[in-house]
Amino acid sequence: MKKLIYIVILIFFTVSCEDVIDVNVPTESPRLVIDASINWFKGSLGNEQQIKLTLTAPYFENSVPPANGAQVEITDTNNNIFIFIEDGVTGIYKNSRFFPVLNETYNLTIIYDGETYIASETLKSVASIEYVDQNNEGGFSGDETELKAYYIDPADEENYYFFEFISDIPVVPSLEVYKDEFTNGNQIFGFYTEEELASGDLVTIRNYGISKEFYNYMFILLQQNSQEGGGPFETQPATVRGNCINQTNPENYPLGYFRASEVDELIYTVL
Amino acid sequence: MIVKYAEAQNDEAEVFNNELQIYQKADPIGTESFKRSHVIKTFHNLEPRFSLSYQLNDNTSIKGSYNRLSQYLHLLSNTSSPTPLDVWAPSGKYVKPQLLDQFAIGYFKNLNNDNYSLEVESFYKTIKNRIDYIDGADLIANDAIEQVILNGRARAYGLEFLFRKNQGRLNGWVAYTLSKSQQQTKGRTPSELGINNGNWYFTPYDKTHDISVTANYKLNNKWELNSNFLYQTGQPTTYPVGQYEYNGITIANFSDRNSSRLPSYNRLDVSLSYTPKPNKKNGYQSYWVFGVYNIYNRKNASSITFRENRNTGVNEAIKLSIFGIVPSVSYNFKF
Repeated sequence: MKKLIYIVILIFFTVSCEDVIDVNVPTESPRLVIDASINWFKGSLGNEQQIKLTLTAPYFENSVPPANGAQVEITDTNNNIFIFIEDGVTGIYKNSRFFPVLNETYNLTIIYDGETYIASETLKSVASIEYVDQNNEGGFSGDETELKAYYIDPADEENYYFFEFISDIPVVPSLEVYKDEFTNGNQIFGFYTEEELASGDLVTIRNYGISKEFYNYMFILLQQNSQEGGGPFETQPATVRGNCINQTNPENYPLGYFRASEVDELIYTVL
Repeated sequence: MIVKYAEAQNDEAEVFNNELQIYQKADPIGTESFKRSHVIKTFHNLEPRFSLSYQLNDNTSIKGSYNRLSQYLHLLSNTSSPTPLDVWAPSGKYVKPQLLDQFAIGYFKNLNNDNYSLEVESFYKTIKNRIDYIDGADLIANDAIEQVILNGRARAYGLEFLFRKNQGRLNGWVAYTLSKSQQQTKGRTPSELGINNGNWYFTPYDKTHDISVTANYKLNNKWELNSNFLYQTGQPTTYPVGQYEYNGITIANFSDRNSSRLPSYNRLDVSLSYTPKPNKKNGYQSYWVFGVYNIYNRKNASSITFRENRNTGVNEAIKLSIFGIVPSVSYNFKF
């Protein structure tokens, strides 16, 4: 009888599963991708900035091609023009004379392949990371290392935050966005969990101040890409449009976003 | 409680940002509360129905019908996730009732003294006011669903065959349906995008081919063998058409909604019924059923999602399937 129950239970374990499979997916013609983020690290001048331009690639390829030969510049409301020069053929455009100002509006202009792309964004400030709390018995299974990076949200404004956790173990960074709707004025944390963190590992934690539009953009982007598990209630995935537009040919819209943030960085050693 | 939106925007719950070509939620300017049994909105709709049948001879007839139905509850469902979420929204201030017009015509014939029967039917439906959620909608615990939906229309048409063997030790039927079900959600003005650029796209439940075969064989008084075979075209889904990198992570770039299909759904179920006392008249009657569901263990895809593997950085397609082979035993009695 006991053996029968054992067999029945075993059979039920063959019930549901996730498999990695081969699928033929279609490919559309390449689009420009604008990864333009002005990051002003607290305590630094913020003069070194870079913008990465790439193109879309077929889904199962190993890398994406760079977008070379573009003209990239950013202007602010005081008519300062910052020109970004490409480093070789990497698709990374650099400027070392940038002058970041909190709450300043910046306009990005890119001329690539005969078409002009523009975007506009305001540089948002951010609260500092006060301290990091580590819990070695966290996560779903109770044996994952959890890190909580605490910061204090200003009560008098609507704030949005973008957290980046970078460690050696997963090849990709852990990204999350938060809004202060339910936590306004409180001390709150950015959350990170990783099973294989060992004592002595370094985790780079960054808190970026972002705009409401970037929060909406990133929220959908992360949800669709199952990075943070997405949750079981996602809607059908679709192209996520950022804040950059193609002035010359609106149908050929670019992907990516132009963001400007103040950043607080903390490099944490796992206990 | 209903959310109100600014008069300047025509009290519209959503705004189309022309520059960025995306829909955004309109800022609510307030809420309206109503006393109990206050009528917020009234709808009146006639629902006429016509049907006729014509008997050609003792064994053959033709039938035709027309229906108009109105429905005041709308179903919004996302089907790309492992736990499908169905949100029911009632018609009201922002959502108009659905109106359906359905036409059907059929040919029915009994063959060989009622040993066999054949039914062939064709249908055509048009539906007004079918709502659908915009790209990137957040459905969970969303109090104001009108901020994330657009109004559109739907149509469906198809041909159904049913061939039955009614008598003898071997009986059962073969059914085949060929159909198409689509919807179109244009923007509210010609300059708006709508959903899927205002083009027709498949509804989440469209099934091009739907075949089902049922066969029962009575071995003797006590034992009967039953089998059931299903084959359906896979559900529409959205596949990526490319990838790009942003902020260190790889993003899948998706295109037209529901333009790809999951692999086909098919399975074979077999079962054996055992009636220990077939001639028993008094007391309760009981019988056993020993069955195997999905006997060739096909892992039918419930959904296929795409992601970047966190440990290798490689893009993968993940298929989620719910049931493989499932054996079953049941004991039934009636009294």
